Amino acid sequence: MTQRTTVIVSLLVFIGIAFGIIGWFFPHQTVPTELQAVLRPEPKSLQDFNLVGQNQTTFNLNNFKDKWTLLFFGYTFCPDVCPTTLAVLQKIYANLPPKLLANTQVVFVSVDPERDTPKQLAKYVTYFGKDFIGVTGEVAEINKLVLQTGAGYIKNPTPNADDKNYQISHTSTIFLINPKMQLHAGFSQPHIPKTIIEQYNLIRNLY
Amino acid sequence: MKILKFFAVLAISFSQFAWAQSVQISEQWVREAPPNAKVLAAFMMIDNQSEETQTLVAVSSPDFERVEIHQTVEHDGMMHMQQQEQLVIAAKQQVMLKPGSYHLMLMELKRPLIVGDKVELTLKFANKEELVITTPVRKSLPEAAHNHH
Repeated sequence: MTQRTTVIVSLLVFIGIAFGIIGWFFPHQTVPTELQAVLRPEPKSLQDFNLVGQNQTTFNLNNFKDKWTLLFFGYTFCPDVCPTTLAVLQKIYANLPPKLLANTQVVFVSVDPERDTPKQLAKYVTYFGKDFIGVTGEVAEINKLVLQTGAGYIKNPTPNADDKNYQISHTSTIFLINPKMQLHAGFSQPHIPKTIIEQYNLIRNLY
Repeated sequence: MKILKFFAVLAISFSQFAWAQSVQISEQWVREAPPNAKVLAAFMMIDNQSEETQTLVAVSSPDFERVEIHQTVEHDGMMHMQQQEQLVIAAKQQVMLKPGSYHLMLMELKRPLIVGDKVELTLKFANKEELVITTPVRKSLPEAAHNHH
């Protein structure tokens, strides 16, 4: 072996070890770049909650089972963010490949049970998609789901306490829950239907 | 005397006309909402072609109990609605009211509104001038508006 070959071989071994070390310390480098801001490092298992859906049916953790769920928190007195996001979800739903559409559900959780009844909610969400599901319930049960996803909301005070025209600030992320009832990903603003469809497609292919 | 009054009226109408020319509203639309929605939003482009700052201070509509000027802002991942006392449009500047940004919040709807309906909005400015505009109800942003981006 010439001295030159030895140098080259040692160099290759060194590079190999270096990449091994990098791979050991940064295993998440396998997450495609376009999903790094979207995908959770590890899916997070969710605990049960007890909400109310259309026709007073129970909506709990089991309703996430064996389906992919696009989940969004809002309220029907919301003039801008909620209709905008529901219109985005409408576009996404209309343009999903049939294979994905078959087991995807869209769930809108109202954080305003004081004004949003399940019946009103159903009428509101089905305007955007006939299969869309609107749920609400006791504040404590709503909070169970909100807190587990890392979302938040706050009722904005009005000058007159009796004023029913209050606004609610809320997280606008569209959450993705996998068929094992785990929080899998979150799509934050800005919501561009085409981008979300591409990312969702990629997530499903990697699953 | 009559003649004087005529000229006075003419002068006033002309100044109003001139003012209306200097502040122009375009691409106005009210977003259609589900039939049971109580709150809607209106969007538009306000173009101040005058040499002075123009300040929108109030809006009213015969179809709503209350109209407020709002801005949607994101802070720490939360979307907040902030009521604005006024909307200032600097001289020779435009302000676009659009989803996710400035909008007119239309509260306590008095009649159902669907695509094709028209809503009358009266925009009141700090200098006491008023603009009355007819705003169509649409599902989404007019196509032409996309070209601004």
